[in-house]
Amino acid sequence: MDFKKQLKEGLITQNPVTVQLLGMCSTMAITTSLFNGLGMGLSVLVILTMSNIFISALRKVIPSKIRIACFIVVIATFVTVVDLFLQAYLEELAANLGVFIPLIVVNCIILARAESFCYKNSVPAAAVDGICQGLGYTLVLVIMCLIREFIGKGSFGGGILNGGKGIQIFPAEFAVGGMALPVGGFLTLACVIAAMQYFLNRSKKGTKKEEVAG
Amino acid sequence: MDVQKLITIALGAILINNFIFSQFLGICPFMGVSKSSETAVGMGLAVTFVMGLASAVCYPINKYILVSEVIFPNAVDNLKFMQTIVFILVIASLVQFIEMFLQKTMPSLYTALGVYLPLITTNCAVLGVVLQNVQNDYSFIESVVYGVTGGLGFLLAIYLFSAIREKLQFSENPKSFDGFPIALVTAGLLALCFGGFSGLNIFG
Amino acid sequence: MNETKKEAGVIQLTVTLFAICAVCALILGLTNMITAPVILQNQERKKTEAITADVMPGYTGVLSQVNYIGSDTTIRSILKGDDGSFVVEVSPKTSYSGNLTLMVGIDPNRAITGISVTQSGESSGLGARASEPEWRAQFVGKTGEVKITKDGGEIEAISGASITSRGVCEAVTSAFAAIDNVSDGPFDPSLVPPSEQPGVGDDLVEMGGVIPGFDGEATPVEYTGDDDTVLSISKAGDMGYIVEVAPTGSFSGTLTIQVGVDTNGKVTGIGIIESGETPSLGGRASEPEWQAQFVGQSGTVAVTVDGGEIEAIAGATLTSTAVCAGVTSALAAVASLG
Repeated sequence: MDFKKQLKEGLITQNPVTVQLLGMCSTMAITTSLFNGLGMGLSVLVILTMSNIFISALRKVIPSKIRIACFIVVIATFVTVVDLFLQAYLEELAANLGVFIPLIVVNCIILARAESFCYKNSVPAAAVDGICQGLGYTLVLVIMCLIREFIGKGSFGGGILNGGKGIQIFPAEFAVGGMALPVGGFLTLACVIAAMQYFLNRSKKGTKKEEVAG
Repeated sequence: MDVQKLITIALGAILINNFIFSQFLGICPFMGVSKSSETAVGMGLAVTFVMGLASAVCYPINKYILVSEVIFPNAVDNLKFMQTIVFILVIASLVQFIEMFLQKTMPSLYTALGVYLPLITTNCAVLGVVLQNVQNDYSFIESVVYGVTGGLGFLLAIYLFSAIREKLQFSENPKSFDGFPIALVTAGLLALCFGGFSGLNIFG
Repeated sequence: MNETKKEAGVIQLTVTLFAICAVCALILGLTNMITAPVILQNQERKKTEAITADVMPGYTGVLSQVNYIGSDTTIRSILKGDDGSFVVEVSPKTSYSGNLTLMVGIDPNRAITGISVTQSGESSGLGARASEPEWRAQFVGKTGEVKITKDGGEIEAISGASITSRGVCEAVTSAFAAIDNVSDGPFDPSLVPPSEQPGVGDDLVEMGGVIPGFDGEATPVEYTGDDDTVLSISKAGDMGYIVEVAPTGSFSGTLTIQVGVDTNGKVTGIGIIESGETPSLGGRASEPEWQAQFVGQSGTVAVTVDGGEIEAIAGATLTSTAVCAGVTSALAAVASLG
């Protein structure tokens, strides 16, 4: 377990969204305000870490044949736990994220990490992996929120700063409202992934290796 | 049976609130399977079938067991919090059964779909449609209609997208945008077009 | 994926899966136990907020339904807060459409905190203005009976929608009276009376005569004026006169009305005796809510378009104008008796 290495992987080289191309549904759907983005990112981080720990702890016990079913049961349990806690103590976030909280169950990131990492590694490594991948996911969400909110509404920090309204950087009339719509989600994610690919390719100057999965 | 409501639900699922372009549910297989039109159509049909079947199966389980007023007369005690885990397990089992069924009866289709069939389990659209049926309090017929037409909307989206993507392979774009990013931009433009349906309202 | 358990029997698979499910179910059950009461509280708070947003802004208490033991059938439900405030749901009898429901918020000092129109079939553009916050703000702080200025109160009626305005005042007044008739016991849904929509089409003539309170025999009086439309005048004891008029200018030409006039020359009520007007439009002249406008009128009575105070029936101007002409004739006839 190498914290620094895993952190770098989680945030940049093996970023779950921009490199592994997982978990895109939620990335585009809820990144309309900073509150939603942070809330969702941290929820996924918590669920990812907890289920990683659980599955890694049980990896010797779970038979290979039914491992997917077991993963799903464990992940669904923690998703429901987080869902209930959000509904009780952060109901505004729960209302904003809506159906996407239970949908974390089928968020490819968690299942993929469980299958590829936790089933083979120790509990501490799995826990760290959960935190780092979760941080990478949150990072992408935050970047997308900042971009979409800034261009789409002209504000910053919606839902958190300024009593929920966010600091208005420029008047809303000049904002491109379309960024808050689905098309904005697609375009922003496209640019973020492209930017990531650009930087990764630049750092591999000379080699023809393409990091991008099709 | 309110035909008007059913048509509204259907139109909503296919055009106005398309699962891909409006609700962002089912993006992973949408991006992953849309390289060629035949696999896209096959995936779309499979998803439609699963969505309809899942809606049909989860409705009675929810109504008569989880939030049943017979078992739990006091609404506070019911098993509403078990919905997520029960639904996803039902969906996973359904997909497993369909997989075994196809393997025995239609092996060609089974091999064509390959690894994408089990992936339907993690398709946000399937779980999403079941959860929305509960949220919107649809009756049995309405749930199934929403499930099937949601799948048809998914099919429409993935087919359109695959047709464009086949052409996209031969176009030149900035190197960083190769692959996923340019596909996402395309999808975004399609989403913009579908956004035009948002004012559609036949029954005034 | 190396399979370390090649021969994992079905039993072992089932047991493992079952065990994992059991542990997960335990975790879920525990979480539910902790969070369910909080979630319930949140939902209750949301419901209360929705109710009090317009009616009692800023209210943070808990409202619960109480039993109304009074006899006012227009009261639909009463919610009581733990600090002694009330939210009363009322459907007044007086309304343009017969379909008006309000919620009235009353604070512990028995002053109105706000009103909100929850259901309204009132005329759009006029009666619908009862929902406007500026108009509703007039009621804040009022205590006791409220009336529009025309009836001697302080509420400025919506111009052109006096029926609706009267209805709202009636609702608020009923609400004040209602909070004195509340039992302290637990809420019993079976005690809630079935909601009564005021009857549409009950004519004042059937409902007790155009001079309310008079139940004797009216004695005919000779009319010596030269208004041909006045058919007959009868003296109603010492309460006033009942005049039968067939005004010209109606839609069908066969409109006959009855007008009650008190000893001060003011209208006590009107009734439609004969009418060939259009059933859905002109026929609405039979509605008590519309007829109620005439109560208290004196001198020349006219529709708002002609400078008067009567709200014409939308789409039945002829009928409305004719009735006004008839009432004016009746008043003039009584005045001429001296």
